[in-house]
Amino acid sequence: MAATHLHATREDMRVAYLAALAIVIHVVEAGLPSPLPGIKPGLANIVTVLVLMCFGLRTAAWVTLLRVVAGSLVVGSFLSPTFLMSFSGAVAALLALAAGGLVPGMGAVGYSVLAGMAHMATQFSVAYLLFVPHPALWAMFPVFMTASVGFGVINGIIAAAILGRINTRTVQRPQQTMPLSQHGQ
Amino acid sequence: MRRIPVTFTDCAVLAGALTLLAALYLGLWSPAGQAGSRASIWVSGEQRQSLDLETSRTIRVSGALGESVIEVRDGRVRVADSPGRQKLCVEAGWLSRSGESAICLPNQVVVRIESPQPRFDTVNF
Repeated sequence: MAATHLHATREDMRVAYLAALAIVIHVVEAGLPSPLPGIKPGLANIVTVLVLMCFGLRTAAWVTLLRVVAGSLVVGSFLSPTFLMSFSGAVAALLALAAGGLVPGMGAVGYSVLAGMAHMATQFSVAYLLFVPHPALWAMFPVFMTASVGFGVINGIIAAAILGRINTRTVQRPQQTMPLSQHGQ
Repeated sequence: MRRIPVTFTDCAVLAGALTLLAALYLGLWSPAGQAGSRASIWVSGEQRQSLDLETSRTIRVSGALGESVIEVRDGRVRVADSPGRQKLCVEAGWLSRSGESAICLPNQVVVRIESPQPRFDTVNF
């Protein structure tokens, strides 16, 4: 038997670790009650933003898409309407992150708000087109978008705070030593 | 307490987001938006009439229990009276936006503002 040896690179391991973290957050959050169906904090987005800022868009895309697919397998919604909304939202959020990366000086809060809004707008449109094609649904749109901006800001601040801590340990480039003065206090 | 890094671009994005939200509320919640021009009246699942909301009038529709009184005035429509016990369709008040409806279930009468894309209401899984 000609066995193909799959070699896991450092990058693969990193994606796996980070995706596992995002999946746990995704699954725990799926169990939280919500006042309105479709509104949830999107805490897994914190991981996406952090990965984007530390390792770039490619890794962020891997982690996010793995999270959506594996997370839905765990929750049991794979290929269901919920999955479709989750998946399209995640793709839109990644596109928004890619676009946001083109703007100089973009920080964690900006990324998080952009991704949250893109996710919500896409999810809402998919819900309208596929499940509830009633014009009155759009009356709910501002409320959902407000929630997405609110949670986007909160997640962004959490991500920024985490980033402030891990940057001092230089996860990104181990070969580059940071001067002591940048370690904060 | 460490300083949380928030950049100028972050603030600009947030300002843009808040502006967009304001525009969304104004655009989608303004009472003038999506005003319908016709109301359809259904009895026992069959469409009986389609009323132009610009023509004020009062009509009577006979349903399963008796007559429902439907009033059209100033581009709006309402069920003024209906033989049901709870009067839910009367309480629904004036309807003017597309998709709004008043349903007199006991009398099997439905008044509904016609919407531009009358497909289906919801799909359940």
